[in-house]
Amino acid sequence: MTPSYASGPTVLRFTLNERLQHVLLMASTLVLLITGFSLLFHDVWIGRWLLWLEGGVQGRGLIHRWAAAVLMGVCGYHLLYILFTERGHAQFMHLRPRRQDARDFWQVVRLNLGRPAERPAFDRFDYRQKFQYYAFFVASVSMVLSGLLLWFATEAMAVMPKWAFDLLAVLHGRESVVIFLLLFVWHLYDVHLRPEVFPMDWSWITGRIRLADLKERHRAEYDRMGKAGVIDVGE
Amino acid sequence: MWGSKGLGAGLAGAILILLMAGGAEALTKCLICHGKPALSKRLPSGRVLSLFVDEKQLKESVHAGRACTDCHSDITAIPHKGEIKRVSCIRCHFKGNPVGAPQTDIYVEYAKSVHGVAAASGNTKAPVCQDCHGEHTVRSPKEAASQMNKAHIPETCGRCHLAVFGDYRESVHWKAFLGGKKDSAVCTDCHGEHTIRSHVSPESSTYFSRVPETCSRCHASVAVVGKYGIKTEQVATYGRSFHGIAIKYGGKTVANCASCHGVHDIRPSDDPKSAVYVENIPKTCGKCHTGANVNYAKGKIHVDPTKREAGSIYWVSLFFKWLTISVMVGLTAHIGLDLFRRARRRRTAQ
Repeated sequence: MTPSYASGPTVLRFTLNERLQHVLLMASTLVLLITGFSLLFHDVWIGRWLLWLEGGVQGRGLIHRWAAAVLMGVCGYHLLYILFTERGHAQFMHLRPRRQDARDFWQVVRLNLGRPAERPAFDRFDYRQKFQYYAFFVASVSMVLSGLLLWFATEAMAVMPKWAFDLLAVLHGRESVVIFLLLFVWHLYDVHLRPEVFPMDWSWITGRIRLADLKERHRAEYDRMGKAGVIDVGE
Repeated sequence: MWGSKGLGAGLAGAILILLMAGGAEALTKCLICHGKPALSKRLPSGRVLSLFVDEKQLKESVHAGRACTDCHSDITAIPHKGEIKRVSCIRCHFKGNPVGAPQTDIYVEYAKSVHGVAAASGNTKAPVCQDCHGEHTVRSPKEAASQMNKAHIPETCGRCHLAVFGDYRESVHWKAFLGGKKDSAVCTDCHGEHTIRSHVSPESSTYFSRVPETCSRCHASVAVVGKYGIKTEQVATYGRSFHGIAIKYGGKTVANCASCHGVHDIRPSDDPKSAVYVENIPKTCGKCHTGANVNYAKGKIHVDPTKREAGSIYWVSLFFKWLTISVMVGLTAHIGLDLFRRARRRRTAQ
C-alpha cells in the first residue's frame, strides 16, 4: 500500500467549483455545529466557554444565522448546479442509488466478517459516499426548514402553534447530534483516518486522485475511463 | 485571661443593672407628661404629632427596663431644650456593644440599601430602623405581635408601599400564607431585608436577570414548595428554554419569571385574572412578541421533552435518542469491522 501523498499520475476528480462548494459547506456546517452546540450544551463548561467566546447568546445567534445563510446559499447553488449544468447533472446521476450499492454493501460486510467474497468494484461513488451525500441532503433540508421557522418564529407563529415551535426546537437540536456523528465519526474516518488515506485524502484540495488510488477504490470508473481513453491504464 | 474576661463580664453586668435601675426611675419621671394620651404638638407642617408613650407597650417591648434617655440621648433637661432629634439605634446596635444588645453589624448592610442610601441623602420619607421595627413597640420578629413578624411584614411595608400592598394582597403568595402555608413569600423573601435594593440595581435580588434565581430559592426546592404539591421542574424547564439560557448569558430583552407570571399580583394559572391564564397568554406574550395570538397558548409552556406528557415532543425526542444511539453503534461497528479486515489482510500478506 503506497501512501496517498506519494507521487504518480493523477486525474481530475473534483472541479474547482465543486471543491469551493465543499469548502463552503464544510465551513458553514462547522460554524453551525459549534454555535449550535454551545446552546445545546450551555450548562456544561464547554458550552459556557463557547458562549463566552461567541459573545453571549446574542453574538452566538448572529454567527449561527450568518453561517446558516452561507449554508442555504451553497445548498441553493448546489441544486442549481445539479439541475442546470452538464457536469453537475452528470455528478448527480453518478450519485443515484442503484441496486448494485446494496450488493456492494453486502459484499463488504461479508469481507469484513472474514467470509469469502470478491472486493466490490466501486464506481465513481461507492455506497458509503452515496449514503453520506443523501444523509447530508436530508439533514440539510430538515435543518434549514426547522431553522428558518425558529429564526422567524414571530412570523411563523401567526399560523404555527406553540407546541410545533417546541417540537422544531427539539428536532433541530437532537438532529444536529446525529449530523455531528455522521460527519465526525464516519466522514472524517473515511477521509482522514482510514489507513490508505491517512493523514488526509488530498483530493478535496487538489481536486485530483492518483490513478493507482482510482484503480484501488473506484475500479469500475477506472475501467470505464480507461476504455474511453481518458486515462492511460497501461498495457 | 480568664480573670480579665470574668472581670469584664462582671463590670458589664454591673453597669447593666445600674442602667436598668436608673431606667425604671427615669421612666416614671418622663411618664408624668408623656403618659398623658392627649400630649401632642403641632409641627411646622401642620401635622399633629402625638407625644404620648404607652407604658404598657414599652414594658412589653424588647427595651423594657431601658431609660428613655438611653435612646433619646439628646434630652438633658426638662423642659426640653432645642430640637429633639430622631433616635439613632446604632448607639447600641453594633458588633461589640457592651450593653447586651444583639451583636450585629447589620446597619452596615442597611446603609448600602435603597432605604439607607435615600435616608442618608436627606430623604425624610425614607425609613430608618424604627420605621420598620417599631418605636416604643419594638419586639423580636419571632413574636406574633411584632410588626416585623412574617405575618405583619406586608402591612408594615405597605404603610409606605401602598399600591404594591394592594396588588400583593390579591396574590397567590399572600393567600397561601393566610391559608396556613407559612413558607409562602412575603415582601422580604424576594426583596431581602436590610440588603434591599432597587430592582434596577444589578445587586438586587429582584434585578431582572436575578429574578429566576430568587424565585428558584423556593420554587426549585422540593422541601419548600414540594410539600404543598407545587412542581419544582418549572425552574429547570425555564433554565433549558431560550428565555432561560438567554438571561443567563447576557440577554437583555428576554422574559424572566415575573415577565409572564406578574410581580406582586402573581395568581394561580387557573385564575381568570392571572397573566398566565390560558386566555390571557396571547396578551402576556404580546408584551414582547408583537402580534402574539392564540397559537401561543396552544401547547405546554414549561415543556420537558423527556416527559411523556409533552406528547409529540416526547416522541420526537425519544426517536432521536434511539437514532443517535443506533447511529453510534452502527458507525462504530462499521469502522471496527473495516479496521479489523485491514489488520487481518496485512497479517496474511506478511
